Amino acid sequence: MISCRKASELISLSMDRPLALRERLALGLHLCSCSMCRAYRRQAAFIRAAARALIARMEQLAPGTLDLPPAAAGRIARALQRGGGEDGS
Amino acid sequence: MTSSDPATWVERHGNILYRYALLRTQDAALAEDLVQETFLAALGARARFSGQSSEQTWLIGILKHKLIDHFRSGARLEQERVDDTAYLDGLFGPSGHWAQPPAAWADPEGALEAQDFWRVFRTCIRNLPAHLADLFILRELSELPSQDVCKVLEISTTNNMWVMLSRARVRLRECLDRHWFNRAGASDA
Repeated sequence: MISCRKASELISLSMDRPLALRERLALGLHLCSCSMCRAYRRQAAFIRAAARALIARMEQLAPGTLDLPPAAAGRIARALQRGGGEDGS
Repeated sequence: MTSSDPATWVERHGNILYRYALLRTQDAALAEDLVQETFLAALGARARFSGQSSEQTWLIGILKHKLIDHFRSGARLEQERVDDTAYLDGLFGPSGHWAQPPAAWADPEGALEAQDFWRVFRTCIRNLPAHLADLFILRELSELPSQDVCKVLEISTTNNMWVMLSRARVRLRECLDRHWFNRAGASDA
């Protein structure tokens, strides 16, 4: 029987590539009897879902919610003006 | 066809580029710098803007390169990588069983709707050891192919990358647990 430490690695791995048969069996057997690792598997899946949701959220945010701060916008605009000629300062 | 007047760039493209960079760095100050570098590089390369793509697509293309440069230099600075062994030993104990068993999370779907959750989530990503944060961001938030991620971060094999991702995930799990799902005094709504 594999340890929880090993199971946590296989759970993570299964999110990145298909598990080999032997890995799948070892993990399946462990999960049958380990509610902690079952909880971990749900939580690891949730972390991925949250990352996806974060992407969607930041791409769809209403204008004005996550804008370039005005101070930075001003600084960058000035750098652009200076940058037109030689490297300023 | 040439690009538009650079004096209008910040107003027209600044927010889009900033948001793009912020998502992929989770660092506001760095995102601002990358936007500035992108515009300055674009200024120098204006003559080469073909008009084949939209101006915004062209600028985002430059920003992508700036982002990769950033992660590359990070990899180089991070030669002395944090050793996770002690952390993992503490997490699992000598027997390899969870020292602090993961308890179920109440209402994870609800968390995705909570404004505060996103602050916690992003903080947890930022607080990972730098090489794991870079990896998680490139892999899960930028959706860069594995080979490219390994090259940019100077990870020798994809196998190593998977091991590191596993470490990033157990750390994120613990951070979210401690600061959101099972935080002290949480009544979890």
